[in-house]
Amino acid sequence: MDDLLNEFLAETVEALELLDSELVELEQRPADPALLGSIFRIMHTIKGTCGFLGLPRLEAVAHAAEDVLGKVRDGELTVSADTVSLVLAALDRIKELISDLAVAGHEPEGSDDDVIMSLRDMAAGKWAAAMSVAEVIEEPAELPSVDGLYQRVGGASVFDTACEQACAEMLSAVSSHPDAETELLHLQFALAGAFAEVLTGSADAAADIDGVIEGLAANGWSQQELRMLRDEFGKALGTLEVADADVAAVLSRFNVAAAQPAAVAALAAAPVMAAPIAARPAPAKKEKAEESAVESTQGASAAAQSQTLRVNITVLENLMNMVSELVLTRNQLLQILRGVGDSPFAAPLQRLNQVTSELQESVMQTRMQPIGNAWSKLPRLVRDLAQELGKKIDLVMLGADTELDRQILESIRDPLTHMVRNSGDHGIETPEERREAGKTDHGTIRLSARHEGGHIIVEVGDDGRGLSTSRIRAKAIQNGLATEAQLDGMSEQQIQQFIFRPGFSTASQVTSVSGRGVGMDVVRTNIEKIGGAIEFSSTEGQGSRFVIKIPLTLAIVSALIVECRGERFAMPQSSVVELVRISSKSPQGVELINGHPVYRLRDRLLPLVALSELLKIEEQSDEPAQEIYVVVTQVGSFAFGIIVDRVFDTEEIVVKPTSRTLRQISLFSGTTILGDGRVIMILDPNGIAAATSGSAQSEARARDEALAANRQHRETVSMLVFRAGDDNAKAVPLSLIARLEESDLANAERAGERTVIQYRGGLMPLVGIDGTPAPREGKHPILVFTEGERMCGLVVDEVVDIVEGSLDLQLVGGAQSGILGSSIIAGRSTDVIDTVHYLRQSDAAWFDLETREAYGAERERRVLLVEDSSFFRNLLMPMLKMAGYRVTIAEHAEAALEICRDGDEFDIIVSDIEMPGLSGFDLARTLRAEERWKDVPMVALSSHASPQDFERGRRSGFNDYVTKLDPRALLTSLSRVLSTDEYHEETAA
Amino acid sequence: MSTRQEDATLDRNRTEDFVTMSIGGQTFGVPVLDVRDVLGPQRITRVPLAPPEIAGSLNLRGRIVTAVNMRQRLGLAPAEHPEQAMAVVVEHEDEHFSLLVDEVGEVLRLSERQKDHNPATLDLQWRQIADGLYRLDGNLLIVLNIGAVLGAIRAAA
Repeated sequence: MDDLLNEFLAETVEALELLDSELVELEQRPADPALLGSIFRIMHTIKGTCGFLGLPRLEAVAHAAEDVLGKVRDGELTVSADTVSLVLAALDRIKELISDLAVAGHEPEGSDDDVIMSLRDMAAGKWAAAMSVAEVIEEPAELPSVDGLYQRVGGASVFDTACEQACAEMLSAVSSHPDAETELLHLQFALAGAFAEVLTGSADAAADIDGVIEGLAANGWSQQELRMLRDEFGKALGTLEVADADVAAVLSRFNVAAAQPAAVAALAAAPVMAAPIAARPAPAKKEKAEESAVESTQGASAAAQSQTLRVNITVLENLMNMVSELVLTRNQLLQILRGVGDSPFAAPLQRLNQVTSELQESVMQTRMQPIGNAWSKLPRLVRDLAQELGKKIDLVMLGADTELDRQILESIRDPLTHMVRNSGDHGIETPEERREAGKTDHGTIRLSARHEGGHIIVEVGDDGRGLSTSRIRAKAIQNGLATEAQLDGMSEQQIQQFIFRPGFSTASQVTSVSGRGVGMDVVRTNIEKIGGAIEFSSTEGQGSRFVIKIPLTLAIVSALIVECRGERFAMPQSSVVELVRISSKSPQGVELINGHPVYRLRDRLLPLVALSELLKIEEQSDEPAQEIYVVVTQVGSFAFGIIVDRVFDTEEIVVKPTSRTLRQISLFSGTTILGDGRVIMILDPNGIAAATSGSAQSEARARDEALAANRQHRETVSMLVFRAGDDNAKAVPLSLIARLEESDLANAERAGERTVIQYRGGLMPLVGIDGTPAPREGKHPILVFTEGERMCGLVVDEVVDIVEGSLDLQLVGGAQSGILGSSIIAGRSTDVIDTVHYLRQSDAAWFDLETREAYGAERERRVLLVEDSSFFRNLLMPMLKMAGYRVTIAEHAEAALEICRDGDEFDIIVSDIEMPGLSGFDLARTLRAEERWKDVPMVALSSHASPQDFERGRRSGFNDYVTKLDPRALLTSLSRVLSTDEYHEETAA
Repeated sequence: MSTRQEDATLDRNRTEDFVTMSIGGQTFGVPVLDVRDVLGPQRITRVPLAPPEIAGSLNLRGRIVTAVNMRQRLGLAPAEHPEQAMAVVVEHEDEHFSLLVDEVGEVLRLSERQKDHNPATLDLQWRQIADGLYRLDGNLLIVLNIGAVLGAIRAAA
């Protein structure tokens, strides 16, 4: 009986969860008979099972609730918030009882009269006055005569008793079946439920009894046993003083033949119907046969249900641990095998290897669950929250079927609940507040999940009041989490992350819902514990958004084992793109740009980072290595190469968390034990990427600080320094160069006035630094510029270096054409060349024309370019002009505001972000607040564009955000922003 | 003096068992119940970027254990033969750590009578991790507070 009870508990808990969400759904769609039928059936099953197991309190509550649901189904009651609340209250009571039952093994003492009385009142219609009369359930096409039958026989209670009696009788007959007792228990409720459905004419229920019978047949019940069951059921009805005619009518629904395959069904129908009960009306029989195709699919799904098995979690966990150990042992054996060469163990070990992999995969699969399981409680939670707080909240859930590891699912369940609750409590405003803010009454909480490269991204967002950064700021200072000076140096994004600090809560009032001191810090801790990350962003008045990134699984990953200075490390295979071996004999090796190594991988420059430097492992020998390996790694859109000394095999590694003492080291994501028993660290590609670009970030920060200190603005960019023509050093921003080539100009050809060279299946014009066609002799480095489909090669004498240089042009536009001006780069006066000039030189005709066409500027548009750096002004202005724009220049944001307010009209404003005085963000916000400029498209320009920058730009009012070093992106963006703007104008008109 | 007597009168006859170990010539003790294992020299994997006190990680029967260089932790000079270090495995906040010490001695049963407070002159680094000391014949045994030994490493990291 204990097993029965356990099974009951497990099933009921699941059923209750389902009920929770279905009831909330019912509130939204009160006229859905299928939904109502399902709810009724679940409640009915719970009631029935409780009766069978001798749980009177549970049975009584369930019964009262079922009565209310019955009235609703019969159309005597309407679905209203009150009805649903009351039934939900009954569910809560049932849950309480169930949890006590699970602990104590028996029902607790006490009375449920309060709940039951309210339910009875409701059922008796005493609540009717309070109920909404707006929505009346639409009854499905009913079968009144049959409904009458159900009532005549005596309703649910008679059917329940009859089913119980029949099943009890059957027990002795089928005791040879392995699970006879359980099966009969199920049968009893399934049958009772099915009869209730069929005889009250609920939609689509006609096949239910057949489904039950088919299920039995699938479990090995014989025709004879099935017939016996039917007879017993008839007898039981008889003892309950049901009229014979009614018994016959009921039994006519009991179609034993349904257990047969469709073809046999027609044949079998006759003898069964000949049994001494009653003949079933012929038309119905025919109908049955026609339906049997449908039924057989339902039978299949019933069979599929019986294919699932409930397994205790600890059993699964043990299994997983053992598989982990098996994987390790397998790895060890394979390692030994590699050492001995030819061995009689080779073949069986290969087989073991394969089986282990398959086993591992299967076990992993058993642990995967849809994330929706962690969301099942949320609709109810949001509903209750909305009721309690007097708000209107819609919960939208997307991607509920995204699967992830059970362990991870468990760890995010509570954090997600907490975040949703927070959104409902603090985020969403009351309908009045929302109306005042110009929003719809209904607030929306949006929950979404999706896969993204070995991770799951879960987002929780709302369109509520959002969090104001200034309040977070004030709170942070008040709670002593940061000083004003520290906060001044932080970006908005950084300040917003303060909500994850312990003891931080911006709610001014502690409500019963949230804000009891358990804060977002707990959420973050839980998420980080499983190797995830959480970010928060919010716009005051528009809502908040949490983005959580979590790994798919924690247990076993495939990893590449690399060696660096004698130490081994594991690199997760998922982020490794390819491996490159570079030996001293390789035609091209690692090149240094200002001391930073880069490698030309096919047609792109790959920044390299030496693992030994990252990990600060000292050199063992000064002798340069004969060969190195580059692990090409991709993190998001960032590709880089990690230099290691050696590369070994890939291994399936069992990820173990790093010790707490080592967790602060962001370059490691975990530890593992290799096949040979040694412990190695698992590298974290995300951490390495952050550390690699970190230096650039810290430069940017240092620059920002310097900027704040002396209000002097400088921008640094990577410049390629070269020599060509005269002795003056020349430079060009690296990002404007598509490729660096070296060619023997003897291969160049003459085409009309131009020198061209065959390049990548096309002809590339070559120009010299003085703008003349290049001479056709000698090997020369060529800087390749591209524009759309066309390219142009600038022949230079020597590439000197690549340096970080500031772009303060000293002598703007000197006498020499093709030179933008001079700048001090790496301590030397250097001419900065105008790439546009050379592109034009090489093929003036196509360039003008093509760019105009390519970027769709049919008529001249007015662009206001706000840019403080003379270099970029000089770079961008000719380019914009060439693309057909009429350009007005403002050297800083204040000037731009003046120009705008003077009455000039612009089609689009392009503005730099970092400027002395007002920043681009300030400019955008100021202009957006003015009636005349609130809809004029604006594009932000910046030398670095991270997603945060983009987000910030968008919030300030920019339509797009591009890096200023990519002129083509700017032109594309301009034409896109302008065309969507026109589109809007047209649709508005 | 008076406080000590008060403490002592509480439970003068209570005894406690300690695993003794020697680090840089000083004897230390860890309550026997805190010790999970004592191991001979182990192959330890260095962990780059780790706090200096962390000697690395080692594999203890399939379990990854972090090794703490006790000489470093106590601010003593490195051992002449670090590869011969013995490992005392302790548990702290559900995690196993291996304390690398010069030698591991016998288990001693010590009475509260022999116990004394940290002398005020003990330098700060030691005072923080010492849970008092016992007067033995001929030398003193400092009781290591595992939580303090390991907790500080985490904070510093």
